[in-house]
Amino acid sequence: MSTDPQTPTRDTSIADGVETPLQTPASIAADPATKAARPAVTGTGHEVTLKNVKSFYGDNMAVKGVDLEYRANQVTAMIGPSGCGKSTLLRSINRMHEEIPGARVEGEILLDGVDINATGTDVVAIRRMIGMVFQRPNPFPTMSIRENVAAGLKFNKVKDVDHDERVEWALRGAGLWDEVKDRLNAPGVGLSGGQQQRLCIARTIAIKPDVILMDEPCSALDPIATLKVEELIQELKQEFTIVLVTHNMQQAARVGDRTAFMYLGDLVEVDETSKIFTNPSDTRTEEYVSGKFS
Amino acid sequence: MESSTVKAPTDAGARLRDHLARTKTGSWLDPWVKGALTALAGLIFVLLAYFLIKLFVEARPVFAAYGVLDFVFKVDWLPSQDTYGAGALVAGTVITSIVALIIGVPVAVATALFVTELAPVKLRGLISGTLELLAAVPSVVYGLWGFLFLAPKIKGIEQWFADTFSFIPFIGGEVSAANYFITGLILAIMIIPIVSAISREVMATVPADQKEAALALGATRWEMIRSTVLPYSRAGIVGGSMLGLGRALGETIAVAILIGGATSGVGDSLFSQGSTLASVIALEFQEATASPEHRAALIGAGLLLFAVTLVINAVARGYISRAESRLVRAEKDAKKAAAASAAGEAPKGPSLMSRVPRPHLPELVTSLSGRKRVDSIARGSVGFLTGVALLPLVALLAFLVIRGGGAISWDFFTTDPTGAAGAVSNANRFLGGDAAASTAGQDLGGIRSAIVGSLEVVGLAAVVVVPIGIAVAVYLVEYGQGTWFGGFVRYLVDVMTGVPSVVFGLFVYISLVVSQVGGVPFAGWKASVALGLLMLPIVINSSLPVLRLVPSALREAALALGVPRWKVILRIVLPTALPGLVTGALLAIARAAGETAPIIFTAGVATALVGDPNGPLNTLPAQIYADVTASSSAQHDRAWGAALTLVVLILLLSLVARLAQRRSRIS
Repeated sequence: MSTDPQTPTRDTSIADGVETPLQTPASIAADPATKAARPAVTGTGHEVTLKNVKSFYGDNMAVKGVDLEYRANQVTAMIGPSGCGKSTLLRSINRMHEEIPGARVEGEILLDGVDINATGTDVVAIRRMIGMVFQRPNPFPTMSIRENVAAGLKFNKVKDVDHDERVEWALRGAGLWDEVKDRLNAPGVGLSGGQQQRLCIARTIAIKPDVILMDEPCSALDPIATLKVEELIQELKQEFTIVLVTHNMQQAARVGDRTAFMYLGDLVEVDETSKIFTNPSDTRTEEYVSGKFS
Repeated sequence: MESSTVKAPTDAGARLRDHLARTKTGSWLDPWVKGALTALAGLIFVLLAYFLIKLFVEARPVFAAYGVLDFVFKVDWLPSQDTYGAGALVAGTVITSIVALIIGVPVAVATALFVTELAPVKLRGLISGTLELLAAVPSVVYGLWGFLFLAPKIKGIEQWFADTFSFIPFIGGEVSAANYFITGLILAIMIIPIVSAISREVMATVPADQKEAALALGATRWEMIRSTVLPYSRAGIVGGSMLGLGRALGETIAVAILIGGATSGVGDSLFSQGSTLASVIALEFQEATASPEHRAALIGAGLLLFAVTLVINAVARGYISRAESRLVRAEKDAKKAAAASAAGEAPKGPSLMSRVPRPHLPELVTSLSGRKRVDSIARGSVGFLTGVALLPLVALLAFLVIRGGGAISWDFFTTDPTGAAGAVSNANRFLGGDAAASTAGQDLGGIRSAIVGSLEVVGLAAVVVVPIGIAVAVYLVEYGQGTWFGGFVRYLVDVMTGVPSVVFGLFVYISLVVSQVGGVPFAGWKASVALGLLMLPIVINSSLPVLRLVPSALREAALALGVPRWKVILRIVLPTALPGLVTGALLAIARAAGETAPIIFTAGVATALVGDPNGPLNTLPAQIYADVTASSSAQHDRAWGAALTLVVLILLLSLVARLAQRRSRIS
């Protein structure tokens, strides 16, 4: 197991967010080869703004008008009981929601001020800007580890970057490089569950999206793998804006800079994580975080 | 912190707009791909509509002349006098199918019981594998075996039976070499694998706790089977039997070889000659070219056959899905009960009792030794019937290897059948000529042209149809799910599955051969069209479950990476499903390679090696058919050799299909 010497301690990052200098994991930054291949994104964070977003399944409104701002280079944790619409909202942000027959979204979703649902906007291009990590690790079974990570580049015919360099960069970024560097050609599904999920994160960051959406990324993982992914999320926010849907309130407390609580399709409250968990404004939030209902 | 995150939105927005404008995603292809796939699916509708309209138009004269009811029930099919009442054919079809069901279903159910409940674990795979082997043998080989081996062997038994039980109506009199009974017997052997396979599947779904509950109440093994397994799987067994019935109704070549071909009336007894709807089409289509009424009558017979098969298959499917939904229902009930008990409600008495299997036998049979005797007798007869099912296979394979192996030599594969032997017998068969030249002592040659022709005809069909079939399946899974059009196409594919192959042959015959499309009447590519029509629904139906098995998580992962839908299908869905798709395609090819009826309608008569598919081509099934119906024993030997070759080719295909399935990455 590799341990990254530069892993930031969680407490400080929650407390004062972007105080630490913006950087990818030190191992990458230290490598001049990968540095050259990487466009300078440092400092230009991207934010997503939701204005009165409503998501429907047919006639059933699952998200009932949410206004929310996902701040750049922060982890926003979304919590709430099952069926509260947090996953639906997440899937609306990169327009995966509309893949379900009969599903549609109303309201405005702005990425850096640009409406992603505007007519004429290419949904495929939007998804390259807004990557997604799913509940269960889903590496492509026909592909090797290397091919899995490079899949986005290859499918999108990205030619101006060296694929091998980018694969290494992404795998280092996902904290998986040391574990798999000797077997990059082995099938991706041969890895353990936690490794597979980090492989999927590597696959997502390899195309350098602006925003990463994570839909309960640790719910299928054991505690140790969960810890690794949580550390990883802390590092990734240096470069990406992250939205994390989680079922696990401890996880939200550990990794979220801000936390949003959703209930029955409504956004009840969004605030600094410490405030949500210690002194929430809404009684429903208080009841939920104190375990009165789930 | 707040301030640090608020970047100048205009800069970022402008960058994003610029980026979006410059990104080439390839998503413009998506609507085109969807349109093209939808059009291909629509092609199924066009094909089937044209198929039905063409048959109706061509059959109209006969329905107009006799009226539908008279055509179906009047018993006078006399081509020489130009009167056509299909009553005798309908009767022949019904009689042979009933014989097939009476013999085949009990044996098939017994094998299924034996494999799922009684056989030692080691034997189970062996028996079910052997039965699947039986399913892979083409029908012309069954016909060959029945005609040359089984019919002469059991003639004595049939005569004894007819004499002894002559007091029963419809039994007795002189036993003809070709008759209803022997045809039904061969049909029974042919439907056993299907009925057995479906029964096995259904029996495997009987919940183990129900079986254990019966055993724990002190039931013997047979009592457990009677009280839980059989009631539970009844709907599935009925459905499987109906599918077998559908197969028996449409079976052509084996029947044409074995039934004799008498059409003037219903035979006096079970052991007299007759005809079925399918066999009369195969036996008379060639002479019908001269008479439009005759042709219309044959097409009418084909339509009738199609209609009956359609109804039978629909009913069968209804039964099978009922058997499947029963499992779902039971699970739902259990969940409901669990929820009720969790809510503190006491389960109602009668509903709980009805879920417990009723072991009625232990109450009826009082002494344990008596019950044990019943148990061992029942188990013994199930095992015996399983042996009966396997016996014909062993005999068939042994004969194939011995007789066919004797005929095979290097020359057998490298020379063409001589014109005399092949053409004369064919001419005899189809043209009614009496050019039965003696072929004794003449070198008959081998089967090179037949092998090459078969490969050509089947290969051509596969190259065109496999991609189309997979594309339609992709449409149904990726785009058609939940739409009315998808459901409609799905239904049409089911209808197409039920069309007997001889009707497809007839269709190609009237639409391509008679009108001499391409300048020649008979041509290899026309046989490919007929086989292609046959393969299309098989390819679609075998691809559907494989494509559905591709986890939607993979599609979502690719979509979320910013990959257009068409590329997701091409690069993720298809590669993941590839092994299963290969399996389905190979099984369809194997099925088509053994088809005889559609080929003799369309590929014509040829013996020489011809490369050009736009002309008559020889094929293995046609060669076997021609040789088995000839009178010389040398030709019979060649038929055995060709049959062995065909069976080995088909088994090789099935084997490769199995291996491909094993490579599958999705369980």
